[in-house]
Amino acid sequence: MRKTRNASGQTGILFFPAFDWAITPSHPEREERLLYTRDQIFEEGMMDLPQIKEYFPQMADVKDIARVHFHVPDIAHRITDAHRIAAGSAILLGDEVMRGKIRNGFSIVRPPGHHTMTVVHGNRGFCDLNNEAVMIEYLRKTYGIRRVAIVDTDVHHGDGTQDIFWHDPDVLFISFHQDGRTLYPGTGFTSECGGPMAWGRTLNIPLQPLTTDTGILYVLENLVLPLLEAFQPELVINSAGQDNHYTDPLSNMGFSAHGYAKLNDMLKPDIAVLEGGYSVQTALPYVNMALIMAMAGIDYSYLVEPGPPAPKKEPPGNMDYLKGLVEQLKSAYFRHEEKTALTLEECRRVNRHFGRMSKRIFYDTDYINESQERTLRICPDCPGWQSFHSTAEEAYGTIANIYAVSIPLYACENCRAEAYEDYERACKESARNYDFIYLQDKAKDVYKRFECEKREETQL
Amino acid sequence: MLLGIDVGGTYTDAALYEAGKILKTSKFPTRPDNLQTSLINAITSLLSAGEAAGKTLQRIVIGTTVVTNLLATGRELPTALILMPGHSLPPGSYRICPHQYFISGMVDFRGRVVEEIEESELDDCLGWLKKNGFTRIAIAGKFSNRNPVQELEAARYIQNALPGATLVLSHQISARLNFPRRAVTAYYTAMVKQPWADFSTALQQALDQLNIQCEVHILKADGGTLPLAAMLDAPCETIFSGPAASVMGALALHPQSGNAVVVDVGGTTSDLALIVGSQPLYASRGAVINDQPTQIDAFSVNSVPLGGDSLIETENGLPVIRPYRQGAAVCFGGSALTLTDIMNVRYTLQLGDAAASARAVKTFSDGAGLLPETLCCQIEQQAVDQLEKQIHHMMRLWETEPAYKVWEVVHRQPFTIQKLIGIGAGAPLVLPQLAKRLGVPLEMSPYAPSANAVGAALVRLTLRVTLHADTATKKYTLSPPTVTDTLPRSQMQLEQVKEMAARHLKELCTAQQINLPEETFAFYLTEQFNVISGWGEDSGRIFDVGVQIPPGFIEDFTGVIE
Repeated sequence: MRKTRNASGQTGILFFPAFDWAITPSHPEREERLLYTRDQIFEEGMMDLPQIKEYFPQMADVKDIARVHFHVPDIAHRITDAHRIAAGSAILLGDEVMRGKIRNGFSIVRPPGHHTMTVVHGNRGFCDLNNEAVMIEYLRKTYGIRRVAIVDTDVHHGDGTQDIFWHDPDVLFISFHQDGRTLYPGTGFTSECGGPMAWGRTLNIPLQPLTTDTGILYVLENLVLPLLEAFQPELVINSAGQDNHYTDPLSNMGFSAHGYAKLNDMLKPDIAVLEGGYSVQTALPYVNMALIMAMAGIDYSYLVEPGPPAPKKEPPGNMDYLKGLVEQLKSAYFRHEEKTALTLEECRRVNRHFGRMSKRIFYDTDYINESQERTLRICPDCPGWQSFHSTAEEAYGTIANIYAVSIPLYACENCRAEAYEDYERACKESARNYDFIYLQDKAKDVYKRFECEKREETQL
Repeated sequence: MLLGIDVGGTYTDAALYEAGKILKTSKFPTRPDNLQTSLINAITSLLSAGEAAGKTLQRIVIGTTVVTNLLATGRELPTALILMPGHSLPPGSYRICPHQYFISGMVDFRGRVVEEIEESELDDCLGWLKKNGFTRIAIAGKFSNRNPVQELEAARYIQNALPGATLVLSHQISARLNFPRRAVTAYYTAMVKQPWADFSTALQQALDQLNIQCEVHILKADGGTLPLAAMLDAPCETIFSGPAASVMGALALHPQSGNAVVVDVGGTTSDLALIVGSQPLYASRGAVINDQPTQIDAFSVNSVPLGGDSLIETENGLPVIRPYRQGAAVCFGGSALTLTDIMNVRYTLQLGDAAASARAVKTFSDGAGLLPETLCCQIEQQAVDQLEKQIHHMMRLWETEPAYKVWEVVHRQPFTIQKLIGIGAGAPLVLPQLAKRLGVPLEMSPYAPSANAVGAALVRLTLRVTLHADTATKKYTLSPPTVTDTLPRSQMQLEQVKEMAARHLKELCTAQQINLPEETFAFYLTEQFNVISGWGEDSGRIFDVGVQIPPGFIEDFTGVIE
């Protein structure tokens, strides 16, 4: 049994439905999404319960955002007050948990964020800002903690969160999602295991459609909980999407409100942050009740959502598939040291200390296509600094071309020096190739942006 | 001429007002065993005073503790509560009263019935009611204010079998969401409905006998009034009328208060209330009765156990202020040192027998091994500390009240006090020092000791109308009284819904013979949402509109001339 950070105390709830903000008036990610949840929570009198402490939202600072993302052209163009409140609320609850003021916290906020990657050219999968990542990097910086585990239980692969922590061996990212061959964003396969120095610290659990409570809880019990025990994180975050529900209109899973409660109860996250979930009437009010009750240690055995019951039987062959999946992923986790040792040895052998990867990212909400080349400095002493070369195109042509340098929180002095050198060289010599060049130094909270055409540098 | 009476725990205060002038005030000890006599005595005494000669009484407003006493003293009024909580929290989490009975049945947030009540359960419930001889019964179901059909069904079944029983249904209590609070309020309402009706009848008869023909209003916890007859359905709203009277009295005596703190210093307690933008602050969780939050709107008033008669003693050799009184101040004939005596000496207030205060202070300070000046300083410090701490706590609570809209978060202002308003007999004792500590001006009216009665005399009717309309289900719920019906048309805009609510408020006013200009109507809630089912947009909207006559003063009131 994993020991939670705080043994006792109230459950902090921050309910921010952002009733006056939406992507567009008819988009599923809009104001009414949490309307019936609001009605249910208020009618139940949840906020009056002694186990619950309700909080007033706060806004994240721009630096908190710059610590995680490169927003192109800048944060002001991509981020609204609603985003800053959603991220700020997660940060607030994180602070309260770290200070022992509450036992755990649930941030029921809009908009969601787990599809937002490190580089942000626009909205993707209804997300512009990765709330959990912003919270985690803020907490690591402020409290000096290092190892964090994120369990993404949204039905969609948390590709944004995966991208942000891809090269970070101190963040264990586990994502449950419907198989990418059948659902957006089409990724999250078992072969995606993490960068060369973080191999086995990204674990993807692609689930077959119609997997029920039984299947999901089997994976939780036999894979996730034992690995959390092995990893010994200082914080466990539940990136809690509610679209796994059997009535969700955008996906095909078979999870129930009771199943959600049981998952949360077993996982015992320190903080849960709301992600997706679009079954506004038949799922969200009841799933949110279930989550609150599980977090607060209230008996949830009487909770049943009205309407037709959840499917009880797994699709044929599913349990065998899940058993195999569990074994495969466990083995990947425990090969981390072996794989990183091999990488370091190879680098020494060829005397090249950089790893490169390229990918294409599609922004479905804004119809942008991004090509990205990402380089990691492979370092035996720290996670290593990274650089990104990213070009974004819309139908009629290129809209942005950027170069960004990122220095991790626990970078060694050597890597920091190299990274600054790289940034300065880019500004001096390659400015004509780009629109903007960015520097992100998480440890020193230094965030710079060089506007190439004007040859002007600004610092946050 | 207007007459205001506030029946407090120890004293009944009364005030006579006409055309900007306070004609007379008086104070009588309250007879807790016969509140009616206390009231009638106060009324007759004031009306027979010289200042009232030749004038016509237009209205009497009464703040009474009848219901507060019934609820607190535990007079035996066993009441049953029938609950239909549906399927979420475990039944064990509802611990509202000792006589609870659960039945099935469930309505959802759209007012759709998702589970019917089992008739056999109603039968069993009836058996239980009969066996225990319950004649006071409350029924509460979740989302009953979106669709009261199940509460009505259960009520019909029970009333048929028990025609003499007092039945209160939670959907009539409030159209606001919060089932536990609604159930608590329905329970207490069922409990006190008959005793209040008895008191109301007896009071009316007594007034008739005295040939008093004017309107009689009752003061509510939200600082407004309702005619005596209208209170029969909502007797619980008469609780906490004392703090309501005091706060409204403070506002009457000090218009343009801005952001202020009202401190009412009494004999044993000081009540503090925040005024924000000249408007009194409501308790965010409703009034709390016996540790249970209710759906009764009440001012947010915090009590500090500190008053003029607070006993001064030593503890571990240091002087302390006790949170209770032993008797009157020494300067008023008492035997033990009180806060009044300390301040009497320190600031030469010349209250009562000032020499007696001085002697008592000297004796006490000698006994404690302190100089009299040091003793007085320390006690004053403690008193001001206590009050200051409570004020900061209240400000902090107000600043961190949860918000659900981006606008509210972005525009939340910290609370800055602009002034301190002192009322109550003990105000001059500590408030000047508190004001100095806070760095704000202190305002005290010569009528401060009777602010509560003055407030009662001057307040106007308050009324809140809520309308929830759902154009997709084509139903609306309008309250009070709570009625669900079909919408007049399938397409509605926010303006039309607001108009519907305002019209209902106007009708309620007319029924009470209240003529208030529509400018007084204030919308405190206007929300609209598009209805979606699954993906995509259905052609439907949900509206939540609230319009009220906010707490305020009678139409002709322009201020009190000092």
